[in-house]
Amino acid sequence: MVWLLSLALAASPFPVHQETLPSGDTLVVVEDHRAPIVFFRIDIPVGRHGPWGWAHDVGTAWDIQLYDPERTLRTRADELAVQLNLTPSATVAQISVSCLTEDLDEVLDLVDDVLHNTSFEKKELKRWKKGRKLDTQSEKDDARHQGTLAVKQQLFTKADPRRRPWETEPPMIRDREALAATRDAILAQPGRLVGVSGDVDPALGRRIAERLLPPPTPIDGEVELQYRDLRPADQREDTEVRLKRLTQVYFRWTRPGLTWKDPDAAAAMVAGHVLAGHAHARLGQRLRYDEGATYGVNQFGAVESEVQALTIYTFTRTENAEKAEGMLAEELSRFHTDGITADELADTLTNLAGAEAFRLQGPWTPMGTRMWELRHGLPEGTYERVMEEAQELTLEQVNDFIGRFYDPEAFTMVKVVPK
Amino acid sequence: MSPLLTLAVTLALAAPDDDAPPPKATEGTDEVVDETPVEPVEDMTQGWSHTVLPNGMELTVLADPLLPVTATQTWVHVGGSHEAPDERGFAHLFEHMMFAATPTRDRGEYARFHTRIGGRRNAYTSYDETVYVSAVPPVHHAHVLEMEAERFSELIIGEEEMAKDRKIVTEELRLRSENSAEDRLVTALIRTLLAGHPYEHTPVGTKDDIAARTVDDARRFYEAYYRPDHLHMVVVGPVDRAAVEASVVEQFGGMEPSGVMPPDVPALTDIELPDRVKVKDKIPPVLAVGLAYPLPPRDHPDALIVSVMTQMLSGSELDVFRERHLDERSGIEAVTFHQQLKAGGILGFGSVHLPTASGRRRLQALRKTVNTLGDRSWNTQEALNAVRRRVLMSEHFSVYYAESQARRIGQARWHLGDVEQAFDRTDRLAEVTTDDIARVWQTWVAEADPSEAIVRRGKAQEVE
Repeated sequence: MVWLLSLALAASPFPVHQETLPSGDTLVVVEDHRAPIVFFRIDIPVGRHGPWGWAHDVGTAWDIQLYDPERTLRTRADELAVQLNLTPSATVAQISVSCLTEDLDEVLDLVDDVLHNTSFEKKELKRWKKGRKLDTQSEKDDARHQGTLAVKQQLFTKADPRRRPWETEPPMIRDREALAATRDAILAQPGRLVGVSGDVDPALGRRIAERLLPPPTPIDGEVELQYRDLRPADQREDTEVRLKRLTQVYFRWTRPGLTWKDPDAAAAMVAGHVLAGHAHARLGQRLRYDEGATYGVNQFGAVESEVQALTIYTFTRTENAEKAEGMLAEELSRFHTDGITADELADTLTNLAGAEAFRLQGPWTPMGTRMWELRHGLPEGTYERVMEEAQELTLEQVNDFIGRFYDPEAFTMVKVVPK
Repeated sequence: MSPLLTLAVTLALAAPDDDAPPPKATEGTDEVVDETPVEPVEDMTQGWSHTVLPNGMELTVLADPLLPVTATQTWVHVGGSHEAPDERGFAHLFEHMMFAATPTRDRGEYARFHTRIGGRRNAYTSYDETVYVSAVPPVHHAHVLEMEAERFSELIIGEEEMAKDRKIVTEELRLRSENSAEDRLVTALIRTLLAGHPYEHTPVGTKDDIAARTVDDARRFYEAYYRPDHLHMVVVGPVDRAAVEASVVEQFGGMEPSGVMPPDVPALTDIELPDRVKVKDKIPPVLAVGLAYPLPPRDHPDALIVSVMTQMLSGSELDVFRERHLDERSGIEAVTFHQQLKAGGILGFGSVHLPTASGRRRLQALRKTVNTLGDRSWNTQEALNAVRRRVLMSEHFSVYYAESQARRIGQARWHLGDVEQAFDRTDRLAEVTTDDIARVWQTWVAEADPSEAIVRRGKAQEVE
């Protein structure tokens, strides 16, 4: 099957150019001149869930930049029809911009002004504070939020950053000088990745980096996320969360997943596809199509850049909960014991090869893939390598992995049930 | 979207979201199908063609040799709004049934084929249509057409499979409309605000109606609406246009039209919306209020200008109404909301407040802000140009994606009445002036009488 994937990769119309800039930052360029549009993204390795980011409210400091009291920045953004997003994620502060080629100079002026804004709108900050409080209240009754939080609490210990997206944030910082100082410190953090794609070339990428990024200066503090050891398996217990007014029960069967560096990553991709990776996968076929017990079954978190919670998720009407849980247990047990069939392996490999076509639709996808590898310290071509390894797997290898990994004893259950 | 903003949007009025169900046939229309083949309309520079087969089926093919996937969308021009009052959810249920067995394929084979080759397939039912979507590596496209032809002509409809699909869509209904306060609020708001109009129920329908549908209903529905005179197929990809056309003619050309027309859906502007609606649920402790202005159908001469106007008001970064309302009045959040469906739309202005606020006073404040927008200081040439640029950008991006182009074509044909409108939007926008904007503001907002909505925390109404 390797030939199938090779064919797909060989057909890639988007070669990736990469270079190290004089500042030490990295530039990734993917050219495609079919349309007069530019997309660029800057990833700065300061996230909201690292110790420094958590203490300095990186979320607010990064988000608020477009808001000036006169609203000139947002007015200019609208007039240029630029899509300008400032996203503070768990691990990086990100700027992403798409615009017409002809507007690029004006757009760069705008982004530069945004990154130098210091008069953040006070009223907006005040509103955000109220909004955050209301959001927190709303999450208490939200089945999805509470189920996911319980999963994270099962696997990760209290200070682990992987719990933070689901936990109450520390008090919001509204001091404008402090927020501006935080933003400036983020911008100067070394190790920045600049990705440009579309109607661009490397010279333009260099120009964008020079224009927007100050000389690198490391933050004085712990920026990296401090992952803790996972909660030991013998301390994980099935959990039941009770909420009012539910008419369904939500199941999350969970265990720690793998990383892209794990030698079992390819086998995990194949196994996950067969178990719950598509509508007619084992669990979907049984629970949805054979029994009408649910609308959907999904698995996520199996292979990530850091170990996350692999979760098998489904739901059913309250009166059917016991039966559905029994079917889940039965299917997982059978999967663990018998593994997959040769036909299932063959179908999965053709699926992985065919799906490559969708990664080749626009230049921003290969740009994003390379930036993802760089951001997580993964070797160049990691994704392609794992896909190629999958194509070379034998049935015995996949089933050996399933026997080791999908042991029902390794999973715990989180149920969200009606109160 | 944060729960708070969800609430604000909900409040800002409730236009139904995409997703869901079915209509009942109107018997006895004697539509005469013209047996004369219609000459394809063709635009060589764009690489697209539109053909109407003698049996009424329409086919649009857009060939682009640089696309790495081929998208096929079959638009069935029947959706949730065409359902009878006791059949809410039927179009959606039937959408699920379309993945049943055919004489040469087992149930689920359509989906399994797509998975096997790394393709994508799905379907959705909205208020106005039901759409079957496929995207595959180009080498597999011929097989997609074969499968599509078979299920549109020889679907096996049986009780056992229908019973399972009833259960599945009911689980979907519970998931989407029963188990969060926001979902329940949206459902309740739509129902109360649009009471009496076919858009009052979301396409996912009601549990009782879904449970009551029979195999005979399904067969009748299939024979009435899954016929060529209700179908528009769109193919976008690195295809040979002539070959696709020949294949579709060969495989679909023998299907007989039904001549059954779905019930008319009145324009939203033709019904009287309630003066005020109130809904409660276990939301965070806030008061949310909104004003809802009905808008004309999508094929109305003003529709494009109204759409431009709403984009000028809400921008992508700066919502003119929000900024002005929060500046001049009080409030935690404010939002402009616009939802457009085929038979009309809603322009909404909403705000969120502490629970101690007075609903009546907050509604008065909303009206005052909307009135101040009558100064039309936002209606500038710069703002109009910005909308044009935004549309241009979106069109540039869409050339990379076969699926989004197919959707745009299908929507232009069904909602605007003309495939060509998928390709000339920037030209039409170039003709819109600030005077046009001023006129539609006057007509659809300044001189209109909006419905008021009040949302509070409290014991919820029962949802069917």
